[in-house]
Amino acid sequence: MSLLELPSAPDWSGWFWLLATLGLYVFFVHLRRHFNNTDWAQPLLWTAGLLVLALLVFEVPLTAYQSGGNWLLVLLFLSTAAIGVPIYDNMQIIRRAARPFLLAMAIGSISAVASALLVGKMLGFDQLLQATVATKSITSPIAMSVAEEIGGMPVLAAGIVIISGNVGVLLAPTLFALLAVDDPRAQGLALGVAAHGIGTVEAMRQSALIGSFAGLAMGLNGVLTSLVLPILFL
Amino acid sequence: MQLIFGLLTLISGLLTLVVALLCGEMIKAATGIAIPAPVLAIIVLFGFCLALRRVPEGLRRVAGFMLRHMALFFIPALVSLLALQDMLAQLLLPLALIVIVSTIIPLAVTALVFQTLAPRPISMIKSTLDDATPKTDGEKMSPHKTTRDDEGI
Repeated sequence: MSLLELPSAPDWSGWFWLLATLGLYVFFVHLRRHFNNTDWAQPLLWTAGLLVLALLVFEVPLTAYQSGGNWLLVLLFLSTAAIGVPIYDNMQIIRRAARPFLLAMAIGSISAVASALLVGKMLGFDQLLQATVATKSITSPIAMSVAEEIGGMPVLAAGIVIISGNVGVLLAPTLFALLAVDDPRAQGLALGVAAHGIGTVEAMRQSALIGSFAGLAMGLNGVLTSLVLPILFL
Repeated sequence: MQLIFGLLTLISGLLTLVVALLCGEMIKAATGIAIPAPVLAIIVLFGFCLALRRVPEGLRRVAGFMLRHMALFFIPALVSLLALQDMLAQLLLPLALIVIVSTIIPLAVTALVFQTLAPRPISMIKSTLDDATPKTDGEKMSPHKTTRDDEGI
């Protein structure tokens, strides 16, 4: 999908599901605030889970949901472009720690792709699945496009990326404590590389410093991996 | 009057994003390059701010809002997994294994490599305290202020 070929206007059921998505999201955002921002109260997971349950219970075809939902995907592409802003904002901090930043990001990024491909190979995944899991350390709007580019499945790629992001956010505090990672810059960088968009949103809620490192790592890592993967899978 | 002006600022910010994405699409269409349009759009927008030497107010506000609520835009992508439910039922365990293993590994590797390579500046302690207050949704996305001795390698 691209901005040049917008989805058609939602029909009435499309509008209903669009509004239901918005309403549930706003509700869960407030609920999370009510519960002092605990990690398990992720608005994304709860909203998506309830919607899937509703679609299954009432036997609503997915196309009815997508008639409205696809418009949110257009906004996802726009918000991806917006990553350019934090990257510009934080140019100075990053420049000061440029070498460790780039090196850690590159090694982390390689470890993400390599571990995904290695586990995939051990489990006997075919080319289609390998090309899909290879994108798992890229932020999902980019991952969808890359998966399409290298012959994977965009929908599955986006799902894996988002769920990875949530897993990363849930595991990160324990992992950082275990490994004695207490430099907020290192935490942000790791969240950006391994938990992309979800990680960055969480990091931004913790502090501006962690958030800016996560945002830049997510953006740069997404761009660099999307440049390298097509060559790898050609 | 002020309301109309504020609204125009927001619209200009949104338009900047749309134009950046369109530029990305056009660069992709013109060159046939294997880089996704949203990635090209990030580069276009970064270059735009670089040329202006600042982030326009409207763009900053719209970009900040969209990045904070990016989770909302992910929802349809997750719901669309329903289309693959038969396949997912078979691949659930392998995929869960991949997700967990190759999320923990880059988290640990990236954080440890950076922390080993980057000496911690003295200003770090102060800046950590500065940032200790959680950001609320109403705040704009502000760059972190660094001090001179915030030096890397």
